[in-house]
Amino acid sequence: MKIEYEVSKNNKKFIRQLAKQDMRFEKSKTAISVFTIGISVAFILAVILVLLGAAEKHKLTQAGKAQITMAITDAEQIKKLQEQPETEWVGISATLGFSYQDGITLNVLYEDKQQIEKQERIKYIGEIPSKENEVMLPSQYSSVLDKEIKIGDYVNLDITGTGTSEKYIVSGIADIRCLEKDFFVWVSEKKAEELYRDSLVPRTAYIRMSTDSYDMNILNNMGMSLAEKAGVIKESVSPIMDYCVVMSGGDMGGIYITIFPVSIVVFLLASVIVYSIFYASVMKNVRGFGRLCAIGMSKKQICQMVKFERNIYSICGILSGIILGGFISFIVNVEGFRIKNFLTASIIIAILMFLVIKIALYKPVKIASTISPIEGSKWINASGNNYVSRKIGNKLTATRIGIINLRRNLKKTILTIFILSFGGILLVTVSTVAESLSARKMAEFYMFPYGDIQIRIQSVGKTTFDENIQQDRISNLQRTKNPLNESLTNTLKNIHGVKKINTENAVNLSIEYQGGTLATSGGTGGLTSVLNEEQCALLSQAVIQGSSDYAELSKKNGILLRNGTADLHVGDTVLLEGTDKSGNEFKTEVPVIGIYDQNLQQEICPLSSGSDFIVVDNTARKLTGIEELTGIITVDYARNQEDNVKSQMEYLCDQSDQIEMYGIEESIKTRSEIFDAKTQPLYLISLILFIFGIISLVNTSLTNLIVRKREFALLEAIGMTGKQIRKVVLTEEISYFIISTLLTLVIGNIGGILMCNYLEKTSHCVKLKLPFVISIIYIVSLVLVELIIIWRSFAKMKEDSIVESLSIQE
Amino acid sequence: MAILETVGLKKYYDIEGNITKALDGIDFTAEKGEFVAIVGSSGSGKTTFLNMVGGLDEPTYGKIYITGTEISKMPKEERTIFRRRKVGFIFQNYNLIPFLKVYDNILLSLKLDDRNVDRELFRNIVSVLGLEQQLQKRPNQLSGGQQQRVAIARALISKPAIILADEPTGNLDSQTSQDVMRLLKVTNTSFNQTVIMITHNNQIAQLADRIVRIEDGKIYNS
Repeated sequence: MKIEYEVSKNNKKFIRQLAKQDMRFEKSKTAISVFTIGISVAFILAVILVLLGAAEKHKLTQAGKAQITMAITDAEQIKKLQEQPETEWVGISATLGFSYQDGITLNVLYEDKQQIEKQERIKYIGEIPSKENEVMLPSQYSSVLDKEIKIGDYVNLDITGTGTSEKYIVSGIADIRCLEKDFFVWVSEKKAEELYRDSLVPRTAYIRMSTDSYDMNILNNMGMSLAEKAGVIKESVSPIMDYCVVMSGGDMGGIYITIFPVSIVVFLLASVIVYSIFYASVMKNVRGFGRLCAIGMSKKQICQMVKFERNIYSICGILSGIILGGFISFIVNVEGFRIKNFLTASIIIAILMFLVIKIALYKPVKIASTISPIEGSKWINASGNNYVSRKIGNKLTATRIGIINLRRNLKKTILTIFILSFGGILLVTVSTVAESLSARKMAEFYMFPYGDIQIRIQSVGKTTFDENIQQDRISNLQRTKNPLNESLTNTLKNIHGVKKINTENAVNLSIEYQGGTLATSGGTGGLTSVLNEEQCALLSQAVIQGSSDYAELSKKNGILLRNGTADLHVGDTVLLEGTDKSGNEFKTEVPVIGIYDQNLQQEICPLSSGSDFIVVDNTARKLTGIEELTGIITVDYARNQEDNVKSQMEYLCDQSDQIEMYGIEESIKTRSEIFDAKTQPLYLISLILFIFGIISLVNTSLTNLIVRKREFALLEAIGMTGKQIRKVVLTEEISYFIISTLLTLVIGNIGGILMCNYLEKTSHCVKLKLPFVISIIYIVSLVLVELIIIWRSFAKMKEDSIVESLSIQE
Repeated sequence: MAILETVGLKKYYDIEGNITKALDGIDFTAEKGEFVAIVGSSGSGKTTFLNMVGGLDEPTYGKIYITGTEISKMPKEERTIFRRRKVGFIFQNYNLIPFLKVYDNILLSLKLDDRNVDRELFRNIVSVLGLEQQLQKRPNQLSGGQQQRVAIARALISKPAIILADEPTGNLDSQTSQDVMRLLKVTNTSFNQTVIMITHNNQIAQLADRIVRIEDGKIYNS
């Protein structure tokens, strides 16, 4: 006789009712599960939306600012441009020049009212200069005058830096952030023409377009069309890069690169926690399912019940998480919040979380539905491993019971400790690296190996208004009378506090090759190092391809190339460019004789130029006609005389228009900013991991308390005092704390040290410093969380009556 | 026709290479309306026999017939459904569903089967078992005796072919045990219900129509 057991629709309704009653009965457990899912979802969503919001906020800085530039020669062109329908407005700007005088730099420019007001770069009070004797100054210029500047004040300015000081009226004061001792000065159009009386004022038109497109090609085509209509040279048309890059999201590449791994990490962790909640909740209830099976609940019905409960948990948890996550991200960044991003992220996270829960339940549901009803109806600890002590006669103390309990659900214990420790380990590792990174050490190694201050030849002179401005000024000065001479070094040696002077040969050269150009980068004047025979012999230890043979280099005018700079090999030829003894440009084909590793080279034969390639002194002399090749002087001084040395050297450089001073500070600042940009996302990830670890710990501890209510009551009924039971709980919590703290500190520090060793080897930027402060903060935070858990646990235990707890059926 | 029949029933457990013969060839029958007590020493196989008969477990060899249907070879799901409809179980530790009220606990097997409740029968059972005042309570609000009465009511409501009671008074005091036994007897006589009961208590066993002794997995007298 075939038994029909297909579940009818009405029957499904009853199963749902059963599931609802089960969830209502275990309110606390239900609440914790929903809360944990909700918090996990909220966290993922908030992280993603905050990062996306930052990118959106950044886009706002360029929204609606599609513009192109072109070189203008007369007012007629401007008028024609303004008449075009695709033009919103036209602003004119002319960078007239700069001068360096008395320790400050003045950047002189002319901008019309449209340009100043509509570009929204600066705010100002007063009027834009219209007369020849009017200027607009930045408010920070007050530091130069030693008094607050006001509209209508008279100031004496040598705008051109050629020694001609004139009286100007301050017509306007600009609110713009200037670099220290580096100021903008706005002059009128008439003054601009006066300064350029023998040539055209180099005006640039900034044309704001009536378009939302940020496609460079489209903007370029629009610009070409405008240029044609206005009679402007098409070659001068150029869309503004900032706008296109920011609006296309390219500018926030850093954020987008961060979003992806951060989201993955956060999601994986949240998934692990949610997985463990559902897995544990079904596994704990296996006996209950067995009981139902004994009464006659079919496998299908058990699965239905579990799935229904899962759906309720999921919907409530995910929904509440989405609302909370959306709210948090909105509060953190109102301007950057976008409904579209919120909806898209919410839908994706909801789907993925549903999948995670479905996967989490697959095995437990299978187990629950196939549980033998005998196990379910009679046996107590049907699932999981039973801890069996190997030692006979162990004392069964409160502490031991706590340890036994940790062991009886070893998987859950290990998972909780793992999640808790993972965040801590990453935090300590990142902190070790971050605190050990030394921008100074890196700057000293690569750019300032002989001291903190360098003197180099000025590439542009004191003023661009000088009629005698030369091309390749550095080479010309070296050729005629090198200012970095013995007289200078003697003067420097006589400064009180100076310990040592080092001179290095370097000249102004660049190379062109198929694939690009290499003009020496280094941020401090662009020079190519020049080596003598002895240095070439030393350098041979750093050569990884070819050779640094002085004779060969000299004979063939060859170069040594820094590894990783360009896609070139030994034997390739490049075009070496510079100026010859007559001051004319030359280009000559030269071979690559060797390729060297920069790190090895800096250890063996330190150079301050940071150049991408090296030539020998013979070659430099032959091609450039420069005999006295000194290009860099480095000064090493006693730390306690720093102020004195710097001020005297500044004075020396101010007195001359041929030399300038470079300090290590700028290099340190640039490198520090790079380090921060790299470590901050890692800090963010480790903080997120740590918070997830806490969520997991709280979930485990509180759920344990609820599930073991009867067990504690049994222990108390047998004769265990409240104090002893609290000791059981304390042992468990202290175990979590000690194990995760140990793992965090040991593995985190080892990881950090290993990472530092690697960074030191590759980048010479580490002074090992263990993160004591971060470690203490981590430990204190964990202690606080544990104290709260323990306090809550003890309070809950006091509330429960033994009789009520004992009557709970497992 | 016998309402319950086992033929050559055997259950062997293989534990790390050692064969344990929990049941070693049991031939047993019970007629409709019969009250049979199964006694035997601890570990003799009584509970295993009951679990086989109730479809909670599969025999290694042998056949089990309930109302003429062989359940020994049935797939697990079918056995569950069969058990829901034809067998009422009463456990020593009651095994009530903790999150359901007494009313729902009693009707659970019917609801699982999507069958209509026989209101008259329900009222009758509740009245006989004295559970009128407990219907809206949860199991943790009841005494042991009350919980066992609920278990009995649950077993009866689906009008099963047989009721299997595994030490139903094992967790109860003597007075309550007597009450529960009286109720089982009433169930047996009032509803003509076949009852197979395991007990250690000889006094209680005397209330049955027939006593069967199982020792070492075999029946010794019937």
